[in-house]
Amino acid sequence: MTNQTIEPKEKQKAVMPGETTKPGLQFMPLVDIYENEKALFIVADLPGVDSENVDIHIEKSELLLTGKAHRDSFSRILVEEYQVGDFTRRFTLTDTIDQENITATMKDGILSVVLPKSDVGRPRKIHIKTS
Amino acid sequence: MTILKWRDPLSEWDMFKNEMSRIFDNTNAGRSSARRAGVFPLMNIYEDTENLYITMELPGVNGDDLDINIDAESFHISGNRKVDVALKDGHYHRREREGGRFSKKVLLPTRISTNEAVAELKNGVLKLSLPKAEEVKPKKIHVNVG
Repeated sequence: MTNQTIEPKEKQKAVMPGETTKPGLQFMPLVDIYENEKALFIVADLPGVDSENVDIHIEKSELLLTGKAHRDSFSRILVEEYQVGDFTRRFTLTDTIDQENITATMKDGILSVVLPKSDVGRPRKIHIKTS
Repeated sequence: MTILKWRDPLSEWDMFKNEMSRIFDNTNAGRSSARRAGVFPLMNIYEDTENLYITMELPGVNGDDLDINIDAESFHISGNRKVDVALKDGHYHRREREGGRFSKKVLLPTRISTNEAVAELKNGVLKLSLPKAEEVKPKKIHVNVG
């Protein structure tokens, strides 16, 4: 794993339903999503985004993640291998998420969101009592 | 290790093609050329009269995992991006983030003065500020009236 070299990935433009009214470029952040018995985890690369400029919006069963990237303004561009723009991505959640207890942390341009599962949806082993 | 030459005709062509595909919003063409030409981390180079600025997106990489060497004409960046794989239980739905080693050497467009070079890592973006060497800075020539 550690000896593997990284292939560069060009940022994918975010595809939003309907017309977008936001100015500027919108990219889809690269994410890892995993879950265990207790929670669902979303880890997203948001380079150039300060924690204050991250927004997580949950409505019904949809989580909308947006991040405003810091943009330097330079007079002259000599090489542009990547584009700088904001990040946005939608995720559909199952209704078993305990929406009150979602936590998010931001470090070195990486956002980690923990979405705990509510007790209702958690798999449970039912003991059968013998009389 | 890949050495990127300044004014490499191929990458100039790629830049042109990227620019064209961006103008016509043909995302597929841009994607394929970037995959062929790029080496992680992708970088942007800017300049003003005093400095060269190089930015790279390195989310999750901290200063201890980075090695940057510069001389008057080039810089070399290498490091390791660690992506957590400490998942003991459960399973992945998506794995798009990639970890691993990287190394990239770039010849600079102008000579720089290494003494005052500054590297800053913030929110996963590395920014190098490299003062141009005195001899390449624009100069005003005073005209003596004889």
